[in-house]
Amino acid sequence: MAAIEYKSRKGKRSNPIYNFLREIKMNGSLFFLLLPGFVLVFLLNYMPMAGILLAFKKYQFIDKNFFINLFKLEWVGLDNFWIFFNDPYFASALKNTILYNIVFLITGTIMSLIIAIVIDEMTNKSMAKLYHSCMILPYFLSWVVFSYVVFAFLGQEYGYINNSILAPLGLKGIAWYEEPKYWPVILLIVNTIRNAAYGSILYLSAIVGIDPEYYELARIYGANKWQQITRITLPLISNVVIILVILNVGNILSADFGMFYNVPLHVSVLRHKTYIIDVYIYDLLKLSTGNMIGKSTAAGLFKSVFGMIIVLLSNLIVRRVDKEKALF
Amino acid sequence: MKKSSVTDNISYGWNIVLNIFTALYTILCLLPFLLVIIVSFTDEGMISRNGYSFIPEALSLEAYKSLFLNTRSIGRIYLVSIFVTVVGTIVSVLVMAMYAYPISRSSFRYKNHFTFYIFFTMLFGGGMVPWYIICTQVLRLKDTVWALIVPYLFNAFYVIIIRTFFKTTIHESMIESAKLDGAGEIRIFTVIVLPLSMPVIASIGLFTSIYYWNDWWLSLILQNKSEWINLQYAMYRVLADATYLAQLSSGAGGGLTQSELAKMPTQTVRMAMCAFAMGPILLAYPFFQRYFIKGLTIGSIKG
Repeated sequence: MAAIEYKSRKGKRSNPIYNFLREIKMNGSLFFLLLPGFVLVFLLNYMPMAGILLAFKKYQFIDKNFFINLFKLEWVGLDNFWIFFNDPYFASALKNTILYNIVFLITGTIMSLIIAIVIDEMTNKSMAKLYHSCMILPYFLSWVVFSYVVFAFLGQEYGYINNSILAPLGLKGIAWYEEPKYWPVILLIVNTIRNAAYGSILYLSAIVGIDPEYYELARIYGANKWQQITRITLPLISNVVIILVILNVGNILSADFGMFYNVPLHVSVLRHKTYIIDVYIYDLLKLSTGNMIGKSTAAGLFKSVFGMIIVLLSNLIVRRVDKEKALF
Repeated sequence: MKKSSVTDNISYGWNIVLNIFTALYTILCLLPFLLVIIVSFTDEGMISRNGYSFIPEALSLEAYKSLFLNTRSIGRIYLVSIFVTVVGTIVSVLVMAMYAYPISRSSFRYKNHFTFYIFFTMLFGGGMVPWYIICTQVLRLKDTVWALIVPYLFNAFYVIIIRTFFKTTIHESMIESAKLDGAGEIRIFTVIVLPLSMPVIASIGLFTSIYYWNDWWLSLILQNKSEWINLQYAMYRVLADATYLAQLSSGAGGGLTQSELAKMPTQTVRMAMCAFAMGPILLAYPFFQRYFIKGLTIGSIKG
């Protein structure tokens, strides 16, 4: 009898729900602190996950309550996926997203490294710091502001380039917003101006952290500045570079919506050079009649799932390189 | 500070080359924004003759004048932007710090569960469309001012940064001794933890406020009527559609008459709006610059 009673009490103790309730009773104030954030994440992050089911259903409006509506919808299997897989716009959006990300990653990393090394080598430190702060500033301005700035330069009628650079040279103005071929370069420049200096902060802090003894020794052996940079600085920060590059590869399916949506001013002629997955999904959502909801959910789910797989893989690689630097 | 000895420095000539390179790149980064500001002060007539120019032949305050005249609609847009930024930042930082505190406590039994709960959202999400449907059909945020605030209140990445800061700067022993003195968890959080964490709170607060100020996306997706749109979204509409400025100014609540509208210097007014959007950030940047830059290096601490 006693043994059974003991057993049942023990069972009650290791019961996770019981433990959880006891913890709430003991540390109620900690749970109180967690509550607002917990609710927000539940509403805005976990509830939408239920909406993923829409990707496999035929959307229509049956019930005012979203969840009842979701439950009652007719299953269509993978139909929504086939529709967008066969959509040439999706193919070009996917291609653009990946290509832009690769190009931005390579140029961004190189520019950031150059800025970090140059700022570190300059002898007048206070000027170097001032330059660096000024370069970083554009990072904090919005993409809408950038779209204005780009328009001020490229606008066909009043733009700076057509009026003040091409016209004095006797050249005819270019209709920048009608010529897709220029846009990869324009977006590359815009991306560099906004992000390269900001990206250099981490590299600079890694360079500053290098033990000065390495350089002293190198100098004793007669290494010049260039040799010091290529043989000491770069190898010693290569870990940081590799890790940041791999982590960025993890985001290869998500391009900056703000940039690709705003800077080309959503001109449809430019679309095949400036379309990315997120803008594609947004455009589908805007046409949200009938099954476009299912189709755009499916496209979003495709992005989420593949994005997660790539992040997990790249994190696995980072763990191999340097366990400390891995995200998890 | 690693290069204490003089001999390690690059040569005088190289230093000049590097200085020129950095100066040019810095100008490349800043000049484009200067063009917008100069255009906003240019006389409209000069623009239709010479285009946008760095050295205008005639200056004018017309653009700003007509922006200020237009206080009923454009003034309201500014107020929405300011309200959203202030309220959003305060609430957001508070909610995030509140969440970060329990999961930073090593004695809290469920810290790993609650950390994973937010960490998972960084890996996987339902995507834009289900999020939109929840916001509109379940949370009924559409066309309210809360649509511009609520979706950005909680940033899992920032919470992890704050948690890491709490963990590394506030020792469990300090909390234990406060407990012995009879302080409750909430009192410890507000009286000890928050004041000691001002560096991270300031950085995160700054980043959050810039995020709110720069946002146009929530207005784009969650506002149908023009009642609760913010400055960035209005700017986006004005550039995309030249007639939108007139709509804003003459529509319900607009302060301009037809004749005033016809005289409105559209080109420069647009750029004046843009200058206004950059203004707060340009003005605050020199003073808070170290927090801006610190934000990233704090983030690099492994969580």
